Amino acid sequence: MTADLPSDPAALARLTQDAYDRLAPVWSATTDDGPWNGHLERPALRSLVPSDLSGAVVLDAGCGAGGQAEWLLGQGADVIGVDLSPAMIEECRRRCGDRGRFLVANLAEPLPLDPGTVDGVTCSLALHYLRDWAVPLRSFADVLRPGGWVVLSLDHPFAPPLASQRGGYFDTELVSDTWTKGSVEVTQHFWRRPLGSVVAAFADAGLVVDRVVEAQPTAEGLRRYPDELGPVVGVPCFIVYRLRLAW
Amino acid sequence: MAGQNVYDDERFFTLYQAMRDAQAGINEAVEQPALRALLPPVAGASVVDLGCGDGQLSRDLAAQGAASVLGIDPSERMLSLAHQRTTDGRVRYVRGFAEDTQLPAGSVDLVVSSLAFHYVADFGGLITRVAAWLRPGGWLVASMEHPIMTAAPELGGDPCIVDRYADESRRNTSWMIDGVVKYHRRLSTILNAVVAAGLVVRHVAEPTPTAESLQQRPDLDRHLRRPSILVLAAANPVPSGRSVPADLR
Repeated sequence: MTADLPSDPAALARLTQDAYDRLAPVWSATTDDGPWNGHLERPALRSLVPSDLSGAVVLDAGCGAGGQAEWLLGQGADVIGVDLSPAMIEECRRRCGDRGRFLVANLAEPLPLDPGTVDGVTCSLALHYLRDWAVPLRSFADVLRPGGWVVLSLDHPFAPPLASQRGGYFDTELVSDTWTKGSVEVTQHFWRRPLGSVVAAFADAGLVVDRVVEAQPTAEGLRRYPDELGPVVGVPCFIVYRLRLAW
Repeated sequence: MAGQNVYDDERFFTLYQAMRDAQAGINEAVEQPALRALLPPVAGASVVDLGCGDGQLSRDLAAQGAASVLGIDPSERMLSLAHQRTTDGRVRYVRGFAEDTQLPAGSVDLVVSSLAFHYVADFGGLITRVAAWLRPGGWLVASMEHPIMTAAPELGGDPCIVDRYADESRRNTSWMIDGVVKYHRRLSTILNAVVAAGLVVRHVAEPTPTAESLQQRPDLDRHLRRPSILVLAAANPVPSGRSVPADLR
């Protein structure tokens, strides 16, 4: 399957955008309270976000349909959401109204935001769509004020290999996975890479690891989705990092 | 605190020395190049080598200009070799477990440790003590078995599929002899302990065999399929006056 994939970043970005445009109408309903996001990845992500966000400006990079943005608003933050998919940004505006600022942006290009204007960045399962992280991580570091933080989630590098994976642990490799969300089926393509490459990319952008959480299902999630989440108990699945500026 | 001292087991020691003398392990081929690549300059430095074994790294750091190197190891047999092989007066050896070692606060520029931390039960306690020994600007550079290795399935199979990953526990392994105890810890536990001790994680390396060693020993290619070793380099920050918000600590 991966043999037919374009390696050109712009062509891959079009595939990702198309998939998320198609998923946009069903995304909130299938993920906010679903097993993988609602009861596994997002609780871990949110556990690393500083608790009091009143008056803080937070950038949600790869904001999807606005579930995380709405949570950040509820924590008292001023929210800027960016996403590759125009249909997702429409969903955000419908969901959050004028309480947040939402714009279409490709994280592979410098963000149209002023340097040093943001207190924190959240980025939920978005960076793995990009092979090269230098631009997005530099964008995060640039928009942050001194003392700012980044909380980002990724596929865990120690997770069991996907069926489409051909290379070994040390390869940075484009893999694919097919999801069904409601009535929509999409095949997504994303990059897996070893832990050492992840931490090196953080360091290159001037970001250091401040805290790490390896996501595990919530008790409620396990009760409600035993078939999906039971098998990932004790298994590396998603990993969340809180980063801060190195100096 | 009683740690494990398998290196004083006669059969283990004999087999281990045969492996090291033949350079048949992954120390020279994988681990040492990566560990040494992450070391800061040591000229004039006060160095502690936790789990120094026969003292090779301690001697090399002294030869590179370290002002003093204190090698610590629980094994009488290993330290006996270390003494035989060392003539440099700047290198001293003390018998003891890493986890029992006490040194004055702020007295050390570099703590280095080669493949010893996976034998330590209380990793967080050890890192907290090590961090206190370091001067501002000092470094901890340590290699250990990779969490994918310490959680390797006992029955074989895909080497990248971990077994009981979240179960941080003693694992009885067979290495040279049966019953060698290693401690499996999750990646988050390792990194969070380093950060909680006040150190800044600067590098995380997952070394693979050097090209030269692969040419000489094609069997090492299994270390290209899954990571065997984790190497951390962490710095004790120099106080700068700029503080990190309290809720990020």
